[in-house]
Amino acid sequence: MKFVYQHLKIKADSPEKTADLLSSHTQEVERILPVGIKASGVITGQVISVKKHPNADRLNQLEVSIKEKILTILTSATVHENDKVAVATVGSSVITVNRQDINTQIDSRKMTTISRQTIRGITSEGMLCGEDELGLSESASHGVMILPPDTPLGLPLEKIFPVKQIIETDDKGTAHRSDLLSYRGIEQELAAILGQKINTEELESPKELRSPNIQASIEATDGCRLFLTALINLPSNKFSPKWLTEFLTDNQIKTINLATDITNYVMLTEGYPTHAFDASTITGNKVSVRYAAENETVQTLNHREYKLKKTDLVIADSEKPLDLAGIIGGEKTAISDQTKQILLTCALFDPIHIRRTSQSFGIRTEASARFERGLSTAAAINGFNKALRLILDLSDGQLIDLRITGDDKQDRVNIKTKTAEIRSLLGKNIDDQKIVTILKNLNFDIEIADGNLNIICPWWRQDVRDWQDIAEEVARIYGYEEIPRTLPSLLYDQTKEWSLKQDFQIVRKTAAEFLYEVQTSSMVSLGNKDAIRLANPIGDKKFMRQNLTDGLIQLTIKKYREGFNDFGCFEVGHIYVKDQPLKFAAALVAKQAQAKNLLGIIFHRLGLDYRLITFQTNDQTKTVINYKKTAVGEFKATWQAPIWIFSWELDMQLLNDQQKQNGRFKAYSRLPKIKRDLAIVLDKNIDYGTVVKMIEKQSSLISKISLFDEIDNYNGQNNFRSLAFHLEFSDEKRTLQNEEINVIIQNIEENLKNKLKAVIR
Amino acid sequence: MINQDQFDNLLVEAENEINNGADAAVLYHKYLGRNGKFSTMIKQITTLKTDERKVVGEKAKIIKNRLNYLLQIKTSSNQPSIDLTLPADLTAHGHQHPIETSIARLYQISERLGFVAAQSPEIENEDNNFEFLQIAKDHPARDMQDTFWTVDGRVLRTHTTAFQQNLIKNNHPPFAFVQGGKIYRCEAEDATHLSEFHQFDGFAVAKNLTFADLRGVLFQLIQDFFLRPVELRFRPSFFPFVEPGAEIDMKCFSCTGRGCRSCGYKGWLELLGCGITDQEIIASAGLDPKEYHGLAFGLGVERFAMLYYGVEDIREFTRNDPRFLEQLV
Repeated sequence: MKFVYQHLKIKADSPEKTADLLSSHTQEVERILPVGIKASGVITGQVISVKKHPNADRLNQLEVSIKEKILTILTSATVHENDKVAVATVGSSVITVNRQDINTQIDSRKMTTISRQTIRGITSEGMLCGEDELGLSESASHGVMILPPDTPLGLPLEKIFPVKQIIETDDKGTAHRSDLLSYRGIEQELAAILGQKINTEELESPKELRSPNIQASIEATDGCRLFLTALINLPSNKFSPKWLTEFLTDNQIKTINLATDITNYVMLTEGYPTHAFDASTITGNKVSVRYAAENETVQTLNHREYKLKKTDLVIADSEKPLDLAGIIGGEKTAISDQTKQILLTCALFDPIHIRRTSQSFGIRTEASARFERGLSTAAAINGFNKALRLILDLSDGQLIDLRITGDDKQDRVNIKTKTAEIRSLLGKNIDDQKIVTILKNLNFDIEIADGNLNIICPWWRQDVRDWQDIAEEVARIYGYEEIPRTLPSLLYDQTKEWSLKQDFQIVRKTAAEFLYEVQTSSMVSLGNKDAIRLANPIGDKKFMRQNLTDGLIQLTIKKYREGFNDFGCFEVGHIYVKDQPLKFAAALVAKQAQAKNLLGIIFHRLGLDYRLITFQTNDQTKTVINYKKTAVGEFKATWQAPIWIFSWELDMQLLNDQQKQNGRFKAYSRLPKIKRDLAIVLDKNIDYGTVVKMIEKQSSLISKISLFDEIDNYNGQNNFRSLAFHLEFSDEKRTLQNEEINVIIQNIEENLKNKLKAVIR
Repeated sequence: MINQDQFDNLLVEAENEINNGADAAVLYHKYLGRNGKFSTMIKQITTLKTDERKVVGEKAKIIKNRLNYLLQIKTSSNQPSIDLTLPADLTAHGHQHPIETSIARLYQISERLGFVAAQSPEIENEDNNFEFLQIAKDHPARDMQDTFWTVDGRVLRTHTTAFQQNLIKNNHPPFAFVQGGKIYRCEAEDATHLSEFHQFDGFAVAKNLTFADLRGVLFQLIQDFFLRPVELRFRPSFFPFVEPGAEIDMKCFSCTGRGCRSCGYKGWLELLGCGITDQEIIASAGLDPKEYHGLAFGLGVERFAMLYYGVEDIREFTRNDPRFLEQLV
């Protein structure tokens, strides 16, 4: 909310200091804005005569008195004799608006110095100003500004519109406190921060005065607890006094007529929205708070018509809704300066009802913002009393009828706590006296005995409900920054750690040596029948992803086309199938062997034996990655001319479940190894894995098998390929003899010949 | 019999050959190889008496070191030249994502402070995400977060705070957990907003934790993350699940508080929300809220990363451009 510094009754020495205090103790101040006149040299004047310019159709020739002399001024605006106006005399500066840039900010406007100008034979000795030219309004104003009739002549306008500062608070952080949307609430805070106490009077319900002229009722009892009405005869509803118009103008609220101005004033100062209807528009001497009938309509002050639902609250007469309750007034029932009788209403609406209706129609008003936060019975009585008293006082009006409908019982929350409990929560030794003073300055009624506090909360603090809230009040006013910083020794149980955390970091670090770690969206546009669907998607991303690879492959293709020729990426993230598992997926433009190498390195770093990875192609589309006998993921090759993109997706939990090799030393042989080479030619369709398995089976002395050459279509034979291996033999306990190895090699060769139809090269 | 002079002569002989430009490898083999001259001589030392053996042995050691030294110099004078100023080529192109790196750093820092890493699902039930944290159906606090809903009535978690219910119901205090992960808000993306981004949450419950502890823990966490001295301001703020609640501002790096574009002319940067856990949450686990106090905080990882790396457009994090990723270590 915006507060004009000059209108705050309690404040620090400067707007900046005040803003600082509010930020540190109550709610953040967004900014401080200066408001007031920006033009200079403009003075007040009065129009003496108006006549048409003899040679120009659209111009009026005026005589304007500025007290010591009378000026001739030409204007295209419509003014009347005796109007009080703001006159920019020769030499003064005003703000000129570039009319093409009418919607842009004031920054794009510039100061212009007024000079004598002769148009078709008549010289103009000045200009009449509008609000925008004075810098009082940021939007283009309509015509010249007419000042109140009691304005003295020849007065510099700075005297009437002094520069003031608006302190704008950020309400989002204090959505629980309706009191902070009022001057009284902010003043109460500042008083406590500054160590002062505002004396408050006991709040009493108004006295009823019943007449046959009007009846009131609440039909929607769960939507409205209390309904206060006053029927008032108004001798005149025209002008508000200067202090009131000034207050509203400073607060950037348009002055309309006395009764409306007062309800706006009460809303800003007391924080309670009240509303006045033109009593002559009410049919049937009856008003009630009820639910709208389905499809009933109401025209409102924002010149719109709303089709209502059965859950929307309205204040209605015997025929029609008069307004959209708690949100916006009705257009037809609005009071004007001709209104002779008003019905002032003040209702305590249920926040949830107001919120629903306001959201469903997309209208948020000053009133709805306050009701949504939750207001109290006492606040309603206070708002009603203030508005009623002001209307009667300022208009010499006559009260005809006053009714209290519903429950006007005020209940104030009682909290019992101990000062020691507050201290133990805050971690600061604030003494009893200090605690009591803070709470008293916030207008809590308080009794203390032996550190036991018996507290009655002020009626405007709906948000304070328990001892912890009291501790917060003390901490806030005492100052969060006055509380020390300590480091607790948190006892923690390392076994409770997220089981995949170590693996997660290992995989990320290893993969990032070769691939870019990326983040792709969890929401996708394609999904099968089992996919989790979003009820309110943005655009066509209707599904939660069921795998990571699709997104990564798309990204890789995109980056390849952008010119990153050897792009590769990976992501460790969740997919949204049952249990929302964590997956590690990658996609890369590379040779197949590179992709598999990388996979091997990652397994190795995870403490898994990369030699135990096998690939099993079940059908054309799917290759399963097995570790030992467990399927831990999928491998995929995608042809996107002119490149192959290899990708995989592994399940982090399944990898984690595998037995790790690390941490256990296994003795290795220090005796000499014997190395032999073996080269064979065999049917292309027999895979590497089969060959290796067959070789391994022949002897336990084989300690390492490594492929060092692979030739497809060996010697022009289409269906054959050549594989060449290094074989290593060793034993822990003895030195091997050439002879025994020769036997093993022979066996291997025999087996390969017989079982795989291989030819030894 | 072998004696000291023979070793001296060997050295002289070898020095001559080295100076005459013989190949270092050949000389090494000739003198210090397994069957080289030195080895042949040293084998004879076993025939000496103990006291002589000691004297000759000392000499042999000196000669051997000298020979080694001379041959090493000889070898290195023959090596091909290298240009150390040539640029290095990163053959492996890869890089960690700055958001994941930031989360990993936050885990590391909070672990030093005594927290343990935890995880909770991204698709949550309403109760964990809202009701348990006292964000009731029509609570104005839901204004702050427009939520993605699944067709079956679950929510994409709007904050990592959603892990609190399971933690407090499944662990007996004292405990202290942190969680980093993805969260979702149903809002349009621009330079400062994403619909999918990351948070890092902390939740500790123990006897007699205090607001002062909260201040200490977060000061340490923030300072360790930004790796420089920071000036912080704790100020009141409202979150339904904490009481007292606070927001932390950090004095702007760029203008040191005078106000500039990066802090929106406020002089302070909003960092995170935190507070003492509301008593109803403590009581829901059957604990006495006057005895057990909870600390809670939640921070936006992207916000931290943007400040740390000096990134101005949050969408960079989801563009996955190598030219962006490569820069941020």
